[in-house]
Amino acid sequence: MKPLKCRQLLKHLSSYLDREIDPALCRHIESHIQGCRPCVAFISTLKKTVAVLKRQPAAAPPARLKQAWRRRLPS
Amino acid sequence: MASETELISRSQKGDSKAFSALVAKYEDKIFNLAHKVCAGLPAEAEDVYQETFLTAFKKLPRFRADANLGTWLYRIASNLCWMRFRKKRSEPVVPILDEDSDHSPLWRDWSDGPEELARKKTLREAVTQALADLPVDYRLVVVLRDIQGLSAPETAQVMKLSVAAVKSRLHRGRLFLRERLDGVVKS
Repeated sequence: MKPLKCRQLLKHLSSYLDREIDPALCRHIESHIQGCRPCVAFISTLKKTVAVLKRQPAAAPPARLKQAWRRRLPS
Repeated sequence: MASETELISRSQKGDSKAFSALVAKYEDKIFNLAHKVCAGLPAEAEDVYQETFLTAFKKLPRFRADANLGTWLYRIASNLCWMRFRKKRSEPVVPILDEDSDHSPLWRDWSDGPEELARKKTLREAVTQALADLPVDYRLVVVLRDIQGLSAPETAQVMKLSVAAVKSRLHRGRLFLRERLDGVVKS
């Protein structure tokens, strides 16, 4: 495989962060980012975006709502 | 305590008490999905949450015994969300993907750690707004994967998509959100 350019690498970054990538491609990405500060910075911000999403507080249904749909079930 | 199989069987015969017990453990997950996909529209989220279980009760006689109940409920809820927001179906505009330049000014670092970022109220509001602006096909995938924590194959099952399509939508959705959050984090 030829060395990857930044734009070629971009489309694989989510799969790379999720560790859902072919090992050979993973090695190419890691080799590329060793010498590319913009890519390192980009990966860092993409990773933080995912982390922010994962840390969004969960919303729970209020008790009145849990009762509301149950009351609408045919008895 | 009755098993899930027993509760399904009784629910399929119209036993509403059995159904209530059957879906209890999925309620918070379905509500959270609706809340995040109907970003900033709590009344819509409440409707989706209630309609999910009412629809499920109606459709339960056709539920296959070998299917996964959680996935099936997620599918109903996702469909209900999709129906509400389907008018805005265009692809999200992601400058980094849609422009030719390699190293655009978007390649910046964020100094705060993710936990510090998540605590910021303004950032939470920005996440809600960014999700609301993301077309629903992408929003559903992002919420199922990154907020609800489903795997790519599970999300593919819920959305009736290939795993490759899930990965592609997830990536595009994440890039869109990253771009939208960039201004908030830098300010």
